Amino acid sequence: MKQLYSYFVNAIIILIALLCPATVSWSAIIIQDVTPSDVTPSGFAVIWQTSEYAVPGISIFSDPDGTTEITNQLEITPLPLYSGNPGIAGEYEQEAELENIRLMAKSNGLMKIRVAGCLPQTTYYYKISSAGAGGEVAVWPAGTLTSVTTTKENSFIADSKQLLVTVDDQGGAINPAGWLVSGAEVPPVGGEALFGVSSYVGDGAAVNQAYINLSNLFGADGLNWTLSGTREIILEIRRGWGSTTVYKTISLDFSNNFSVSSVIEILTEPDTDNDGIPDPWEISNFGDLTTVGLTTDFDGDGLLDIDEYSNNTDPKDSDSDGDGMPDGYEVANSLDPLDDGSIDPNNGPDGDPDGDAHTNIDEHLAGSSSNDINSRPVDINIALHKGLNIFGYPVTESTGLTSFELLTLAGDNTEIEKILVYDKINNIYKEVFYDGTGPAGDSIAIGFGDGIMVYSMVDKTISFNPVIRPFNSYIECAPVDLAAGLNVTTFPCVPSGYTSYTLLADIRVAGGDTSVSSLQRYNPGTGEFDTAAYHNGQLIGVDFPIVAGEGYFIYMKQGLAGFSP
Amino acid sequence: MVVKRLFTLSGVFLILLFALLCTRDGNIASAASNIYVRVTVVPDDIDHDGYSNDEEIAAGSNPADPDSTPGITQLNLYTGVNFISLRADVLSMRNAVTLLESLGGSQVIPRVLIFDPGSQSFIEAGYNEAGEFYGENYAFTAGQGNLGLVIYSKEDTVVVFSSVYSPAWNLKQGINLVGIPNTVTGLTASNLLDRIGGEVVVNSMSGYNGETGRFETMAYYNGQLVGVDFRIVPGEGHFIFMKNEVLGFRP
Repeated sequence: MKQLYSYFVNAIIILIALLCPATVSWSAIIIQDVTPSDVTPSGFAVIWQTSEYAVPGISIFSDPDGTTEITNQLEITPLPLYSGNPGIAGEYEQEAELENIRLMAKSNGLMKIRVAGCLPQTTYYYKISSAGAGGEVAVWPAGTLTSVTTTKENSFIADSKQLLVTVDDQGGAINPAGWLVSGAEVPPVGGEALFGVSSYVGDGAAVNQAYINLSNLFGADGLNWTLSGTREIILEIRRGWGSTTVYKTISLDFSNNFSVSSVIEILTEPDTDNDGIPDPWEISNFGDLTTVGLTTDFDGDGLLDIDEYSNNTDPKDSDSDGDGMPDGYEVANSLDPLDDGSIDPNNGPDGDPDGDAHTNIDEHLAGSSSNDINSRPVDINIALHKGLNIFGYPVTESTGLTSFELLTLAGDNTEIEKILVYDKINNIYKEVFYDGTGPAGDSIAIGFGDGIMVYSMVDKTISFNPVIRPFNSYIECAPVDLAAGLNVTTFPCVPSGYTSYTLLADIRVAGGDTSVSSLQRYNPGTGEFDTAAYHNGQLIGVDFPIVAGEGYFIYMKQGLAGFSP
Repeated sequence: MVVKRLFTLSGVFLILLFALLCTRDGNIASAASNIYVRVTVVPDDIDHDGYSNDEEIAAGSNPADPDSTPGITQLNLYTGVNFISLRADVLSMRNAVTLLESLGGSQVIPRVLIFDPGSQSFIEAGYNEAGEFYGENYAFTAGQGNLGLVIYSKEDTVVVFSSVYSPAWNLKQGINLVGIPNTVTGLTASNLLDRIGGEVVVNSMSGYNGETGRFETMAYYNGQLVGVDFRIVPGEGHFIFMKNEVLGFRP
């Protein structure tokens, strides 16, 4: 009785939703997120989202131009369902349940249509349509047909896992029937994403559950997925137009061969404000659904609240494990924000997972990455001599730095006369200086490796270190791109004993015998330029030391990308 | 039938008379010799299934097994993979080679996997690209019923057998590949799982839907049946995952 009442109420709500717009005006149906699903040797399905109540349709063609329609030769099933809720006894009640799921799916605009009777390894071209309550029809795509190729003639599964996705419906306060859940392997980096399998919530399980059979995943080779080891499965839960799609990645162990009985339950939670953060988590931590949202960071630790939820960290504690490193830094650098090192020392302040001989806490304080051996704390001191100084800008600044800011950083109007920054785009130097009110001239953004000339009035040292520029002021041993022609650049990481001769030789090894012409530095001690060059294949000139952070003029005959000493 | 039986009995009588009159070297014995001979009269239908032994032998069914009878069994194979439970008796096929030949040979069947519930594994046999047999020539034994097979077919084909085998299921712990020989009205995965014994003894049941190319599974999960409540169709092979052994189950 309660179930029938629920159907009645749903039907009334949908009826009202259908009738009300009719009295005002019809809006165009929007179709988005079209995805093939459930691709097998003998058929496929297509799922998509529409902006309002609609009934799905599809037209199938044997050719990309859409001249030969074969829809009538195939079996088309809109809103396909398996068996509804197996717990419901009685054929009539079961059929009513199926119709309720279809009704809710149409109301939510969660479209799925199944095409059967296909041939293996055959490409089918299609366009889908959504027919609104008033008869208006939207068709996608507008231009060239999209296609899907059925899989091979099927291999044999070696294992099987079924996922039971349970939606926390808050005791019936939320009706998830007709939500669309799909599962697929998380595509490997650079790999090919597999076709997923999908199911409506309420079909194959209880009213708030969806049932996903991973045996129906097919590999990129068109055969049944070969299941072995631990694989990551991403679940996508579509809830309807205007509601955030919920994603949940899970790791499943497929190492047990030939099991057809592994049902794994995945719980999802309601999110009535559609901010991607489940209601119970928001209520538990903040007592309401309004304090945090999709872009908030309540504790200011660099980790958004939605990411605090997914990482299970404390959204009101910037350092959940109390190891001195904020949660945001730990997550960004692949450290466990809930392990202070007591479980895995590499996650703690004294750990060094990237093996660069700098502890995590030192890297955090310096702003370098604890997960990248090429990113490490380095104090760069540039010695300015009275007169002209040339160096390359050694710091990676994620927020950017202007030549005005560099002028201020280098010294005041009693110390620095002017700074010229090489504009690589226009191949000219742009000058900034102090006038009576402050920095003046043609300021430009400075990037890593840019050539800089400083006319200093005093001998002094400027430091690019965490004390002066605490944010991200570290040296990345990043490679340098050398363009054909003149380059004014610097090398942030230089091996011990490196000289102009070894640098030129290395460039030739990397770029070829005719890649480089000469190398120059300005020697503030003598006030002269030192030059090393190739002449008839022989190194000639001054074999001066190459120092990290100093600026050099390199004349390239041809470009060389990604060079590191 | 009566005339045939009298004829058979009279034949036996003549043989006995001849044996009594002959010695080992073939000479007629004297009337004083005492020779005792035990005579067993073989019933015409030893398994009492209504089919004579001759009829059963001619049909390829087992004359000593009442679950094995003459009859037409049709096996529909679709292009690609087929999960079946062989409804015919395997007695006349003897081994994997004769099974493959009876299914159409290398032109039709490139590969067969025979499920061995004892080892919980498949035994593979088939034909290589040169059309030569490869794999294990698995020998069938009498009474080996519900032969679970995964058959790869190059084409849609129908294979007709002249026997029907409908034994009770001996479901072993673990995986079983079985099927029903005859139509049972309204039989679905959920009520079959229930009839086998419910969640206490059985975990799940899976089948391959050749029309959709999908595996369908019905499983118990925390006392709840979840999955696809697919119909149980004669000849289709279904995986049943047993928690405990159940012997002599008749669907």
